[in-house]
Amino acid sequence: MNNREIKNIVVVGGGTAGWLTAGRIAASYPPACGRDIRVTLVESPDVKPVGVGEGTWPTMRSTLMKLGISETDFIRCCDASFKQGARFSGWKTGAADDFYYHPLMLPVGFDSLDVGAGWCNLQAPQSFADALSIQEQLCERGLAPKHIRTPEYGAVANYAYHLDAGKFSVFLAEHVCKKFNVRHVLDHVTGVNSDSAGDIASVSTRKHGDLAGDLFVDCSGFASLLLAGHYQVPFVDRSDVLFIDQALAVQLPYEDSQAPIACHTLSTAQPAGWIWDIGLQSRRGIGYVYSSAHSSETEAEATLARYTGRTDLNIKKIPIHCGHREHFWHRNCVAVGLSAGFLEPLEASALVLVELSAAMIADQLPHDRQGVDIVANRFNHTFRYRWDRIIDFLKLHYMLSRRAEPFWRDNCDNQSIPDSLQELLHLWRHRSPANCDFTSTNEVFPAASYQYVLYGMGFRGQSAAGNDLLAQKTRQAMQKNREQLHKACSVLPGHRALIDSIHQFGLAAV
Amino acid sequence: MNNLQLLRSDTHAQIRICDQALRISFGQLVMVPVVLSEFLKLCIHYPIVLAKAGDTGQFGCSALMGLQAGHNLLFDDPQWQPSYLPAQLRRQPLLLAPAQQPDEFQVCIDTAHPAVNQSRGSPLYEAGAEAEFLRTAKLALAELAQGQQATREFVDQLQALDLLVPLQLALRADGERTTVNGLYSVDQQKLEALTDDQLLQLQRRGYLRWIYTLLASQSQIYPLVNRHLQRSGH
Repeated sequence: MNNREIKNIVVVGGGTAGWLTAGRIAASYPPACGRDIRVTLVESPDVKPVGVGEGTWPTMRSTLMKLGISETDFIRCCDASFKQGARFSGWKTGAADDFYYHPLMLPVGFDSLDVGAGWCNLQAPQSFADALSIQEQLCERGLAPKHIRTPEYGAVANYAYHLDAGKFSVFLAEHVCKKFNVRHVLDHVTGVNSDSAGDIASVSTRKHGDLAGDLFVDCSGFASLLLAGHYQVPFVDRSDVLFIDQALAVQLPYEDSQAPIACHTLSTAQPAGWIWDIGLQSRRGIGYVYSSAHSSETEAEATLARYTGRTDLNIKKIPIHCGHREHFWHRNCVAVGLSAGFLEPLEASALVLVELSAAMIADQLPHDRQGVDIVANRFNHTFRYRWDRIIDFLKLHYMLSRRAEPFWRDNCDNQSIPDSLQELLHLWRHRSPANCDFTSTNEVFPAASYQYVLYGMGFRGQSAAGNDLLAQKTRQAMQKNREQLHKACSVLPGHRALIDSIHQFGLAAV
Repeated sequence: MNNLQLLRSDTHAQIRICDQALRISFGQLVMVPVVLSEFLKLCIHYPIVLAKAGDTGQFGCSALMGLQAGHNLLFDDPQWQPSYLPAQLRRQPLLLAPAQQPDEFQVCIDTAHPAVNQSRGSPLYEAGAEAEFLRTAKLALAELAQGQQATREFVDQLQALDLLVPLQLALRADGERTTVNGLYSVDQQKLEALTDDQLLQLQRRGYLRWIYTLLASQSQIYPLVNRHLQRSGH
């Protein structure tokens, strides 16, 4: 095999996947680093990125930092707001008071104490998230996770973002090209050209000829031009586990410029799926994701209209093929973003998978063609594991529901629940989800997240009763939580007020 | 509650300012905003620090006089007589309010200030003319008004060059450790790493001497810490 050195990286496709990956790679290999890496990104002026209101994880803060982006600029340019977790309404029974929070902070005392078991044993009326984290209350009260004096990316309460994906792509493109000397080709890819060994040698464009490269990153979205289109890597359908296959998305303006912005993602269960409701600065992004096997489009539109209170909104229809490629890195081509796969946006996993992929490619960028095969193998193994874990975690949200509609009953059918998840549930009947359940370095969700969803959905394990010491320490943790909440409420501004302050004054770097 | 009135030689002819009451009011202030023109005189007595304003997060320069909110460690001490008082203190209980014309200001007095009275202390007017107290206060007001813009630009430049660093102030007493947060200074390592061009810029704008004055004033933190520890009975 021609063991050429890997120097030229061609990213096919813009959007958040393309620009985050191009930026992350370029940031890791500055001009003076000793490796001459050139990054080219080719994006079509015709193909629009999918762009609905989106959520991120806290990891986006360090991703933006790695790209040298100022948080103040990001907030000002991307219609962004802060996210402190998700509120799941109606998932258990659909009753008016049925909700639980999955916050972004660890439960108090989690590192040294089995608070999950402690809380179960105490049988206290207060929910797990409310008893052991301040964030449920911060979200219910519309308080921001920091104040104007907190440095950029610093937090009083751990947070992530809601953002406008379209504006974010444009913002990233401008920043990445200016700061990192990434070559931006605005053109349509017309073909993919192989070399004699079967690698991709170049992609053909309408006006810029052939763009040659050593490594190609497929960020072409659902179309998956390279991995699926060219290499025919099969798609693994996971709709036997997660039934949702349609999305109806709308944009809803606020009543006025001072309307409160939710500091969390709202996820409200519906007869055949659930509605996401994400508060950006200037508008809300709302969508009903549902299973077409359990609802007609007419019924779905009516459900959405009941939620928004409007029938005049422009509805964007997005089909969802729930699943992922059989493998993600084939020869010298790796897929990042929608081209790798897609799941319903229940836990905002799309962008974090992009971040993780970009990080792995940048951090482990192979030196030569032989190295590519080794890294590709690892990448596939790593990300197959991650997709499987995400699917398990999303299914956890459904499998404990007591709602009566067929969509929800079908979700509880064992046939639709992966064995890996069934095994965990069996173990969790007698102990809380713990770190020992998640030992791979490639875990996506920590044990605490499983606790929040498990206990939020009404599951109660039965650990060894009569553990007085655990009960005492758990009560102490709950008291500490009350004190931290009191303190936080006295210093934190309202969410909308902080966003306005950031526009006016900016956040300092220190 | 404030009661701001436009200063008039007729209305306020009988006003006197009680020195003791002024000192007591200073006892509440921990950080006193300062302007560049004061730096050389400040650095002998007070640490000059940078801190963020509560509601805007904007950096400003202040003379540090205490380590706990509401506890001025210097004015608490009746023996302490400074040879220099920051302009923000010298102007009290007077202040400037915007006048009709842009860039014009008028002098006002806060008649609700506890030091304002009719019987004790320094008069504002003597035989219809401005007395020494008023003259001194007006000079302080002028110094502050003239210095605001330049001081703000200085702070902006420090931020633009990424020179600010949080001061790690940890107080250890009786095995208990408390940290004083929110104070910033200039990072000496980053200062030394500046390019020739950047240094020349700082020199040309007259900023280098203020940076070094600010850094020199840090040594005033130690006596302040000692006062704090003594005051808390350690």
